[in-house]
Amino acid sequence: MTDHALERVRAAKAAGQPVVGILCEFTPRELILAAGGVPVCLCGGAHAMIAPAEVDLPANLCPLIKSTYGYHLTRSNPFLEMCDLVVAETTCDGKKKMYELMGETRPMHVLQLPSRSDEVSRTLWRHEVRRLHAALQERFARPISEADLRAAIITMETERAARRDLAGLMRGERTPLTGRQVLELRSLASGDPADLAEYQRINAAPPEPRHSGVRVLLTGVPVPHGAEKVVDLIEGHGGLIVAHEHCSGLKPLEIRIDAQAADPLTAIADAYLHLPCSVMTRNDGRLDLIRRLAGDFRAQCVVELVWQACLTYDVEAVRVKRLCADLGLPYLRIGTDYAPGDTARIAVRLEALFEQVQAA
Amino acid sequence: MIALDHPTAGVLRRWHAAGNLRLADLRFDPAPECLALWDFVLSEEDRLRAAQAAGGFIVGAMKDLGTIPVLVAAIPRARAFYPDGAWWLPCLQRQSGGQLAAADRLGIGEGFCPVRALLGCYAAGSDFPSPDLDICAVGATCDDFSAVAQRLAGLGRDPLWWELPAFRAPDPGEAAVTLPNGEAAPAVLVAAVAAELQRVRVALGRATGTALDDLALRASIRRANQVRARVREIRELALGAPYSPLPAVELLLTEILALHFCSDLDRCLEILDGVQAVVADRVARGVGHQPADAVRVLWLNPVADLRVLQWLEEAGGRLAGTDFMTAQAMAPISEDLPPITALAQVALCDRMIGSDRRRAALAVAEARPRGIETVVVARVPGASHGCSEGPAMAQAVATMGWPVVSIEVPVVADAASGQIRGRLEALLETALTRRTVRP
Repeated sequence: MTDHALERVRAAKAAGQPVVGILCEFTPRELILAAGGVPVCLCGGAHAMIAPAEVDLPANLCPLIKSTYGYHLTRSNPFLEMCDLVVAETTCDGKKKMYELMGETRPMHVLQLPSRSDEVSRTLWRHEVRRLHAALQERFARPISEADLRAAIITMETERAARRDLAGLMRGERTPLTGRQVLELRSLASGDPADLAEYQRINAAPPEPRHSGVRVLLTGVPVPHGAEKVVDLIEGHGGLIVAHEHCSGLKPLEIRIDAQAADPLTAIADAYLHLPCSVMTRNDGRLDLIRRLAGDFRAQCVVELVWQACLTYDVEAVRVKRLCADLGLPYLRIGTDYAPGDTARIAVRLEALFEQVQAA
Repeated sequence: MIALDHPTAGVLRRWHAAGNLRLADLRFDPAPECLALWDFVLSEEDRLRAAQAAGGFIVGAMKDLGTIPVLVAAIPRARAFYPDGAWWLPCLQRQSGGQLAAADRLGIGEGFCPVRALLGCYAAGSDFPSPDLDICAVGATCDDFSAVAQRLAGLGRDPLWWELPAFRAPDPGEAAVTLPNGEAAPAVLVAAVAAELQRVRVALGRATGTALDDLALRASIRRANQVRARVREIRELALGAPYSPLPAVELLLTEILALHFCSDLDRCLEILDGVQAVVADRVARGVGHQPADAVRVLWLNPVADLRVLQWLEEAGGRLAGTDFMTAQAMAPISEDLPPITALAQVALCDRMIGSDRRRAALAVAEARPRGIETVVVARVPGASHGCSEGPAMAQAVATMGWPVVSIEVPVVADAASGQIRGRLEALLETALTRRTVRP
């Protein structure tokens, strides 16, 4: 999907469509689509971008942030270089501070994400979504009508539903896809009819179920394109990722928005604020999601991936571990970065986990 | 300056004997009023335990630094303190208290800010009494703190969370409010913080069985403003006078009093009155701890190891500007507005909740009239919020021609003393050279 997305975004850019970079699932793609733009994901997954980033950023920062910033400094992410605007959010400290540096040389709009989802925070977030709505109209000199918004909601709802169905193919005893393949089906650019057609084609006629292994629910940090090290290790050592709970997987697909809602902007804001990300306090929704997915997909164990220096996921790991104990599921936390140096050590730990599952 | 073994430092020797071993390495202002300041800060645990034993209600306020204690002070027999202050304990106790090791065992290791020490205190019931209520700001404060506080929640505590949103400048045409620090803030942010503080107010009233009415709040704000005004006066003299009438560490302690009055507002005012009188007298007599030609330094961030501030002074520097994360606690609270609105406005003066550039710009704007010659950014090890403060400050002061150094100060900095002192000395030499040779 990545190469295809690049072609598509280049074509859109050439046709005069604005390209809008996003860095987190809290950014409502619907608004960008409604503004006639193409939302593209800019999260860096390349280890090679870490060293350039460390010119400005400290070493003890998460690799996703550093890689994204490394691409920015070296101007080597074609998606970023095409961006007419980058939409960032005040999620974790590292991202917030990196955006300040990136925003010095690139057009950027920062969404002020609250950390709770009660009434006061919801009011603030609705205001932020309206600010983005206004900023997009002003920047691209194009009014966003209510009809545009509703159409964009339908586009994203259709895409999310199709991707949920794709993920659902992993429920069977044997699966037609691997966890890595499911991950790769995620496009870096949203709202592409060709992508949707491909999703629907696979859903309508999935490949023969032929994959099996210890059924793994993968949770924790996002797995951006190029940073699939742990995914490959899991599936290369006897595991099969049947559910990706993280932000590159099912978590954002749980968003549901009523295109017929009386106020579509409010409906969008309210839906996105409930993303169970570890930056939220308290984040009980994530535990609920893991509990549900573990049951739906009949996970036999849970692997939690924590990128180095991702404080919020790192701390929340203890709650996930306790949940897994309650569910009777073996749990493994893997703290790592993008460097390949620890793959042998991780592989040994995974093998031990899978042996534990099989012996049970 | 005197050491712990000086005959007049007896009041501090008992705190050394109680385990605050780092006191033996520090130097102190010999004025009895300054020694009383130290004693007041170090005796807070005793006050809190006595208050709790007498039926008082103890609030552990976390991370907002300055606002919640004003609410709590409106309730008779209630006291607020900041468990965050535990971050100094590993230094003062030379790691003998085991707070960080306890935090390690709870899964919060060296990758986190030393504020994690509070976890060890909660787990062991040491260093401060178990609060009757924990109130924790969350949002744009810092990830370390949110993470530590959530781990605290995992220990069975049930903090009352309130959202302190990220600061941003108003958009063109957006309804805005002028904050006590002169900045404009979007009205929607002030309203949001006010709504959250109102929720805290209701919860406090319910927990203590007290009607926290506007009358009581206004009285509390008036008294808090007395403390804030006194701290501002001392600070202005200490940073601006030619002969540095108050040492850096004592200035830091003074600023800390503005945060939560060290759990005794009346005594806090007495202490501040004493320090203010000493400083004013020294200014009037033209005497101080440093010569008039000491290099004037803007210092960003408090340090885990207090000795580092004294290394700066020993090398020939003096503080002429500070951002110890206390600016919001020194801002005057409006006595004309509805109390909750007034508190919301000062809460948004917190420099930590905005961008690094905003923080740098505010610190520079405040310090510039004092003839700043150089800047030190003291990074807190493991603190996630500080990852770009050094570059941001460097950019902010680039046009001023001030040299900047960014140092990371460990909890006990002895092992790093060579490099820290060397860098501070080089920085001061650079500043001195610039007095005669302009770049």
